[in-house]
Amino acid sequence: MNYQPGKMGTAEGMAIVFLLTFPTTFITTPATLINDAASLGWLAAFIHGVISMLSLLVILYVCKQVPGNLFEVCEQLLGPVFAWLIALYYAIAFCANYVLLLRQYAENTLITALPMSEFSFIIVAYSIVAAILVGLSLEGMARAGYILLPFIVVTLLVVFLLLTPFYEIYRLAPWLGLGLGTALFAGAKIAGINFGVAAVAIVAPSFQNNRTMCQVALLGMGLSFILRTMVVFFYTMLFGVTVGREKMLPFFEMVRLVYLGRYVQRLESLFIILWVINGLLDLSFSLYFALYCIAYLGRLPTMRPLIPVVAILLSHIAMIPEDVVSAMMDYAVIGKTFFNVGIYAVPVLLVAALGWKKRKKVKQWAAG
Amino acid sequence: MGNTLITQIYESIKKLLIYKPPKNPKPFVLDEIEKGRSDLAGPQPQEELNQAARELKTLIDYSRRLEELITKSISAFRSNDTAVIGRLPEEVEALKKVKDNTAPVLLSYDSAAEPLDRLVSPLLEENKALIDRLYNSDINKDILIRRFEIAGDQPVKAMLVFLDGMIDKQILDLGILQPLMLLDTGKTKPVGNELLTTISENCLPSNQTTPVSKFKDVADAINGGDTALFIEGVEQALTLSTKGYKQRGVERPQIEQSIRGSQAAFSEGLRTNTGLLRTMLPTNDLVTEILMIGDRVPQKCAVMYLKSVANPDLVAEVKRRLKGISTDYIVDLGMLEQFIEDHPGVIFPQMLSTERVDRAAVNIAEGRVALVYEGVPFVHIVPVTFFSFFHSVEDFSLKPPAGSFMRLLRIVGTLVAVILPSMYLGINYFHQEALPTELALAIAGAREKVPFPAVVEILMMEFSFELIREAGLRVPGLLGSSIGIVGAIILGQAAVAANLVSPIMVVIIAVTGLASFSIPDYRLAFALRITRFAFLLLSAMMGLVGLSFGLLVITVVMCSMKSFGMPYMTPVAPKTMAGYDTLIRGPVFRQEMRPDQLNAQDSRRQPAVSRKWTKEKPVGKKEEKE
Repeated sequence: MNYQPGKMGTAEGMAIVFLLTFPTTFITTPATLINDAASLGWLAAFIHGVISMLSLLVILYVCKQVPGNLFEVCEQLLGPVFAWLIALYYAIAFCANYVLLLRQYAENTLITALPMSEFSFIIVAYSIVAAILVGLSLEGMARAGYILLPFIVVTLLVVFLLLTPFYEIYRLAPWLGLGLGTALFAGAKIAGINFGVAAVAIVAPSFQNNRTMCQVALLGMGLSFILRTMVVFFYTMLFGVTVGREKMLPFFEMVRLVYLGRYVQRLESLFIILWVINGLLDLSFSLYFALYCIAYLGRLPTMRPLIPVVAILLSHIAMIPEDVVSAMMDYAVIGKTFFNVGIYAVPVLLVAALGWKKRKKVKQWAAG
Repeated sequence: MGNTLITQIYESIKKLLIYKPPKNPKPFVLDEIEKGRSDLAGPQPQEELNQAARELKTLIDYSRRLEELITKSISAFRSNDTAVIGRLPEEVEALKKVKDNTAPVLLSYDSAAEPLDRLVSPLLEENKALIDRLYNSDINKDILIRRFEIAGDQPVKAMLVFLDGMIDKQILDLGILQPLMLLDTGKTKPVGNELLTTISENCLPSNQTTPVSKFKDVADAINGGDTALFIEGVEQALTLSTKGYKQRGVERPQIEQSIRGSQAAFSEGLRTNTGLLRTMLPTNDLVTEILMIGDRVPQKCAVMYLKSVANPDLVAEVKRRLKGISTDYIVDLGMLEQFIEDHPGVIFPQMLSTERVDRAAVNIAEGRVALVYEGVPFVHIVPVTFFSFFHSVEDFSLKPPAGSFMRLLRIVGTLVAVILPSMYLGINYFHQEALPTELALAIAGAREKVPFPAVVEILMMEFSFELIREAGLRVPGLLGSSIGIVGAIILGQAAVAANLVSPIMVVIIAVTGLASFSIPDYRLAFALRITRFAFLLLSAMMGLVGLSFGLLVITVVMCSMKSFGMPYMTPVAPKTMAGYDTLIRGPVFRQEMRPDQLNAQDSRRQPAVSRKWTKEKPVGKKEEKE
């Protein structure tokens, strides 16, 4: 089917995983983590990153045993009905991710950059650009993402450095937290927001080999959760638990604090470019994989005609939530429930099916 | 009424007063050409086909009878059948008569073919008629036919055909006509094609003589400035190299000037350019393949590459695309590029266009393919990456830190040229908080008297700048650059004085303009200028958010592009082995490998230790020990 992308390497895969998991750090994830784990929010970020990485490695282990992309693997291990259901799950999950993030990015753009604009105009603008990017190619997006990776990392490190005068280490004190168990549980509960890591397995044949995919999992997801952990760590040191859980745009607020004199201050507007590009790539990848799953479900030869239709439909759905708070709450709820199916249930199901198949083969062999 | 005085006066007054339209011919109107009136319109294809079929049948019948007679003769002689042998002369005579009758048919069959598809005739008159028909010699004064006799005991009629203005008359007079007309060897001349060979080998001092049979080859040679020699009774013509058209010489580069490095630029002559490249790459490994491009007016296009280095698939693909062009006429490499590039809809150049011989040579040595086109003083190089456009041969003439600094300066200049005005506009409209208070107040103060919004102000200045640039290019000679400088200073001053624009805007546009000149490639600079306008509009609508949209879309477009199958943004995206020649220019002796993305046949440029002398003992020390 020609909706399959071409050949990709570690760099492209890394960018896909990173940009499907990290950009939520620019919106509500740090606040949610601090809300759930207080001063140990950074640990929760670390935990959910590790869980997501393990989940992907398990899926990749299964893909190593059974050739093909995630859905073809499911077809071989679980049968066509289950494969169809799993594809449906991912189609809905990527659509939901797109819709809820689109609304949040649009509202945040409205708040921080374009207060006089209509939010529907911003949603439409984001949708048009996402559709254009999807129309261009997955490789193009992934390569552009890879070019941006160093800028993202360096920018974050520079911001952490510029904020040095404002850190207060005691805000990380354990007695301000809710305990280690709560932090671990909070981390495990929110791991679902990284369900997008499965994208690597969805387009598995596009990668050179299984080793490349494992590198992608380790480097892409590793970089993502280490940076997220750092953001939550420094964010907690800056704002503490009480104020930190209230902020809607943690990164924006962090940059806003930068003050090194009259000429280096209030840099938040310059960093808009960074998080807008990050968000747009996240949205584009979500839209691409949603369309990929839909094309697989309908056994369509190409996804191209679907791009404008689905983009318009989803942007209309994104306008349904009453306000940004509803969108954020919906995202938190879906992230902790529906998205967790992709992180926990799918890998477990695949490993169990693989084990059962292997055992069956051994039995058949023993029976002669 | 008689012709009285009154009637005469009346007629005179009437003639004076009443307007009569002048009797001019009807003005010319270029109407659609009538069907069948065109000179190209020949007989109906079906009728032509039937006629050809009838003629072909007659010829086949004749050949069949001839075959039968030969078979019959062989069997008669073998069996010694005297009766049959006795009848054979009569049958041969009968067949001769048939042949005589068939000759006009043969002629007619041949003449039904397109003139260019016909073969050279042994009859001089027939060849002349065909040349007349091909070149419309009754109205076309360029074509010259010189009849003469080749001297000797038995003089042979001959004619030379050439295009006036395309040949060197001295070569024609002294190198062709003089030996043929005056230098009689006195020996008995051979006939037919043997005569042609003798003339070519013994009489003509011309360095290139090629016997040709088809009129297409004859026409190609004449069109290229050669002379065709037709001889009575010879079924071939001899094309003689007499090229002598005027060409511009090898001059200094006009667009890609450099302080160091070679100062030779390409000129319009294809052979001059291939020669220049060959002098820069004196190796037998350098291959020059010449293809003809254009259906109605074919032009020569040379494909040059190093046989042992260039990827054969790349060479085959370049040739496939060139051969796949079907159009009347291509005048420039820029047009040719649009016919063969991967993404004709994208504004960014996908071939490197250079007028510098050294730059083309370096790229060929790396494993790329060069396209040289007749009449174009530029050479195009394929495939290229986006980063190739920021390179200059001069980078390698300087030390690595200086070369790297120049490259980084160009890249920073490019970024400034593309995003500075839109960044200013975005901050001015939507993100004033990004500016320090003093600066914000200074800008606001300067803009206080300007009656236009910033976007109009910036577009006005950009438009003026583009006008000055274009005018400077079109005005000839030194006046062009003077207009540029004077225009910019006077316009800027006057616009500020008239409160049409603020001084900060003049600074922004001047810096942007200056930065845009740091982009080494003219076509890339053009593409980025247009991109800048798109970014301006996005920024005016959505501030830095709009600018982010634009930057991302452009980046993804560039990451999705390919130049002759090679990703445009490589070695950055997709990531390949970059070497020391992408953004930073490393030491030349550390660049062991050719660009990875080219997949050259021989990827190694030099051994790991290219400065072998560092591993050897100095000569003086050796002597000391001894």
